[in-house]
Amino acid sequence: MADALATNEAVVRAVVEKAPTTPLVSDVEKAAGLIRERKAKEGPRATLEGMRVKKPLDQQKIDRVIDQNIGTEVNPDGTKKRPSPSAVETRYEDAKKFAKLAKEFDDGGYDSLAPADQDKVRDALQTRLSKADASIKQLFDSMASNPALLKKTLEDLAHDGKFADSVRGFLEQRTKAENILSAKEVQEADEKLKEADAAWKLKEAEWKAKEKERVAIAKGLDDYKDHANDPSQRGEKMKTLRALEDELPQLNADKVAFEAEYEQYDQNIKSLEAQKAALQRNSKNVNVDAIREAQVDQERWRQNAADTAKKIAEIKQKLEKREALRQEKAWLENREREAEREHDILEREYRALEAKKFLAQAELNDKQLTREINEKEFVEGLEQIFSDAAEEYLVSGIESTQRVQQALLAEQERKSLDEAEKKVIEAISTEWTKTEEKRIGWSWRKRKIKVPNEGPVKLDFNLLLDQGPEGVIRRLLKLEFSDEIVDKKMQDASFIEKMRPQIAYELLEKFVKLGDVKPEHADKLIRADWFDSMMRHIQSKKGFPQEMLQKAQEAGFFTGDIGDVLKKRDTGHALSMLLILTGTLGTIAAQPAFEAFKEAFKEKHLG
Amino acid sequence: MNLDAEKKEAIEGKIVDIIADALEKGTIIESELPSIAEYVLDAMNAVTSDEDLGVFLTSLAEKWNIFSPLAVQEQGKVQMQKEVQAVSDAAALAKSGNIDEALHLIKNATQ
Repeated sequence: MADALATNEAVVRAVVEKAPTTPLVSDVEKAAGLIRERKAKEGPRATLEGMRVKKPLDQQKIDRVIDQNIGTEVNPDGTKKRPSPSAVETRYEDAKKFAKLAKEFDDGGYDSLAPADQDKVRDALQTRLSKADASIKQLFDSMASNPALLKKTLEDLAHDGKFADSVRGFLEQRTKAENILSAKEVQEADEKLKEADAAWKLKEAEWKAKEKERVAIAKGLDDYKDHANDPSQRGEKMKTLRALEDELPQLNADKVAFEAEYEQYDQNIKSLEAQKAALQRNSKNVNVDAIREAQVDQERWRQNAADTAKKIAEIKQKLEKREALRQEKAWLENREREAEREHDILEREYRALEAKKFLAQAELNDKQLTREINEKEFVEGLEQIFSDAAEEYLVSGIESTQRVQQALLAEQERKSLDEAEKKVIEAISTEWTKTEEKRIGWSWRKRKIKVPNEGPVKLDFNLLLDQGPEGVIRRLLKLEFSDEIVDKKMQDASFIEKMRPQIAYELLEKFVKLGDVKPEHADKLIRADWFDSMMRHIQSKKGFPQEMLQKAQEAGFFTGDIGDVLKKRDTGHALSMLLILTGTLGTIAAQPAFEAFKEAFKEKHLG
Repeated sequence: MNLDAEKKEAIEGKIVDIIADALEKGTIIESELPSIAEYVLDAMNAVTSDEDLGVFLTSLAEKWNIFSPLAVQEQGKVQMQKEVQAVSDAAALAKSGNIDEALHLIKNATQ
C-alpha cells in the first residue's frame, strides 16, 4: 500500500509540477555577449546590421525534437515505433503539420501560405484577439457584415512584423532541444514491469507445480480414507490395511507356529541325514532298505518344510505389505502437511509478486499517461503557435502603449502646478484601471498590464453621458477635496477647458475596452457638446490616433473637422470609428486599424 | 536642433546595450532582434534633428517597451535644453522690457 501511495504521489507530482522549463540562460548570455563584443569591435551600427539578418530556422532541429517528443518505444535500429494507425502516429503527424505551417509562415510570410492555411492564421488571430480583448471582439463583430473588410484587417495583422516575430519566437521556443521530453522514465518503468512479470511467471510455475503435488497427495490419501461407520466408503488401500490389521494377530501366531514347524522339519531332515550317514558307514552290513526309507522320509520332510516355508513367506509378504501401507499412509499424511505449508508460502510469494507486478504495471500506466499528457501538450503547443503569438503580440503591444501612456500622464502630473489637475490625472490610473498579471508567450515571462476597472469606469461613463466630462471631473475631485474647493475649481474655466477633452478621451478609451459601447452610446457621444474638443485632443495626441487621422486626411478621406465628419455618418459608422480611434486594435496595430478606418470612410464621405 | 553623427552613434550604442541587457533578462527573445534592428536602422537614417529623435524614440518605446527609459531620458534632455534656451531668451526679452513676451516664452517652453 505504501509503495502504491508513493507511486501515485510521484505521478501526481510529475503531472502537477512538470519539469520546470528553464530559460536558456547560457544561450542568451552567449548571444548577449556576442552582441556586446561586436559592438566593441565594429561599432553599434554594424552590430545592428548584423542583427537585422534573419536566419531561417533549422528544419532538422525541429524534426529532431518532434521525433524525440512523440512515442517512447524504440526499434532495434534506433528509430521510433509509431504503429499505424495509432494515437501516437496521429500526434506525430499533427505535430509535423503544425510545425510545418509555422515554419512556412516564418520562411515566406503570410502570403506564401496556401489559402486554407491563410484561413487558419486569420481564424487564430480573430478568435484569440476577440477572446483576449472585448473592444477588438466588438470591432470584429461590427465588421461581420463586411467580410472583405474583416479579412483585410486580419491580413494586415498577419503581415505585422511583430506578429511574425511572435510566431517565430513560439516555434523556436517550443522546438528547442531543451524541450525534448525524456522517455527514460517510461522505458525504466517498462523494464521494471518486464522484470516483475518474469519473476511473477516463475513463481506461478512453482506454485502450480506445488498445487499438482498437493492434488496427487490428496488423491493418494483418498485411498486411505477411513470410515468407521461405513466400511464401504473406505479407500481401497485402507480396506486392505484394515484387513491386514485385523488379520495381524493370526498372522503373527501363524508365523510363529510355522516357523517352529519349519524348524522341526529342518531338525527331522538333519536327523535323517545323520541316520543315513550312520547306515552308510556300516559297510559290512549296509541296510539299503533302511537308507531308502530314510531318504523317503527325508524327502517328505523336505516337502513339508517347503510348504511351511511358503506359508511363512506368504505371511511375511502380508506383514510387509501392511508395513508398507502403514508407512505410505504416514508419509502421505506427513507430506500433506508439508506440502500445504510449502504451498502456502509459495502462494504468498506468488501474491506478493503479483502485487509487485500490478504496481509496476500501474507505474508504467502512470508514466505513460504523464508522457501522453506531455506529448499532447507539446502538440497543442505547436497547434497554438498562431493563437499564442496573437495574444503575445496583443499583450506586448498593450504593455508598450501603456508604458508610454503612463509615462506621459506621470510627466503631466509632475509638471502640473495645479493640485486639482494632479489629482484628476492620478485618478485616471487609480480609479479607472487595475493591474492584471498575464503569463503568456515565453512561459517564464509574466506581464503586468492595466485593464479597465469596470465599476468606476461604468459609473463615470454614465456621468459622461448625462452630465458631460464636468460631471466626471467633479466626481474625481470629490475623492480628494471638500465640496467647497470642488465647487470653486469647477468654476475655473481654463482648468475645465484643459481637462474636459482629456478626461472624456481617457474615460471613453477605458469604457470601449470593456466591450460595452453601444450604437446608442455612439450616437449620443458624437452629438455631445464636448465631442469636438475630444476629437481635437485625439488629433493632438502623439502616436496612433494622430497618425491615423493625419493619414486619412492626407489620403483625402475627409476634410475639415473629424468630429463634423462623424456627425454626418450613421450611428453604426460612428461606433466603428470610436472603436478604432479608442480601442485596443488602434493602439497595438496602427496599420490594420488605419485600413479599417479607410474602409469605413470610403463609401460616402464626406459629403 | 541638428543631430550630429557622434550623437546618433551614441544613441545607437545605447540601443544595442539595451538589447543585449534585455536579451539576458528574457524581456525580449532572439527572434525579435531582426525586427528591432530593422526598425532602428531605417528610422535612424531618417533622424536628422532632436525633434526627429524624440519622435523616433517614443515610437520605438511604443513598439518595444525596453526602450521606454531611454525615450524618457533623451526627451528629458531635449526638454531641458529647450527650457534653458527659453530662459536665456526670456532674460534677454525681459532686459529689453518685453516682460509679457518673456513670460509667454517661458510658459510655452515649460508646458
